[in-house]
Amino acid sequence: LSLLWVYAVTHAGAARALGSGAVGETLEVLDEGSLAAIFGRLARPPATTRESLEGHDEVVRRLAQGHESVLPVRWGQALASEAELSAALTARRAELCEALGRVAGCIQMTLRLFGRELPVGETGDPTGEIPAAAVEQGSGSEPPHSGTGAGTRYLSSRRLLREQERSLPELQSLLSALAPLVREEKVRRELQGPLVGSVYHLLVPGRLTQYRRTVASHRRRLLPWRVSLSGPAPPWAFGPPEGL
Amino acid sequence: VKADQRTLARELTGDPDTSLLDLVDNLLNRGVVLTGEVVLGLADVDLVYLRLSVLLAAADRVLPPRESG
Repeated sequence: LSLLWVYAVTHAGAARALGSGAVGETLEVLDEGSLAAIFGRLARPPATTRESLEGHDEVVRRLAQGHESVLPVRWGQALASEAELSAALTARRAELCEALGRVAGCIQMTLRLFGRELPVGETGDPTGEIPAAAVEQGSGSEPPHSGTGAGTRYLSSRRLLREQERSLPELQSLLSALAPLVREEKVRRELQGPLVGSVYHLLVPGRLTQYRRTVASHRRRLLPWRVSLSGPAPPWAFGPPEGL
Repeated sequence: VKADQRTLARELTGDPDTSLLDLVDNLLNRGVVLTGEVVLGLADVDLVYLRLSVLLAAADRVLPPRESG
């Protein structure tokens, strides 16, 4: 057995009712300070198949059921030893503890916005990647500085693009209606394809019925955009920031 | 807290609508990342994992921008 396959991070001392991992391995806990990692020992990484992903997802769901606060660990996180796992937890301790506090007792719901991709001529962005609506109704940021140096213009355009990637003005009415129900929201706009973007909501289970009703009541108003709703799920999107 | 925990458990086990899109987005593009390097040298399938991860996480970023006009 040569690697530790990690499923979740939780508070030290909180791990219980672990059961088996995705391939039947016994789940174990490694405590490191105030954190604990839940993992299984495998001889090699599982093949990258839908069944493997579903197996990992099922284990994380089960762990989330039994714990007040769990951060799901992305598929494919394997470490060579307990020492390496301890070092990884230690290096990320502050942000992992902060994230565990934010997701405590919460579930994740995911909205996805589908629609036609706008032709280049209809966009308000010179690259043709951002729909005009996003530019006109975006985050209210300052427009790129014109008449200054090329570096300033480049950085300003990068900042605006970054803000647009986190904006879905097509869903603004729905998101405003949902705002009192959710604890936290993350938005991601796709740059191309029929999936226009996704919204990840963190909410307490007691708000779920009202949340679903609110989404259902807005579907017709959002036409021709199509909105799908999935969940509840463990808080996959609410760990430490992406790219770490 | 215990009542809330029971509610949470019920919600997470109650007929989740998990599509392939959700699986890919959640498990390969989301979630806590402890390290991105160790998997690379462990077994033959690791290259498959790396390739999938890069494509699914960043395909819309690595494709060349379209020509305008």
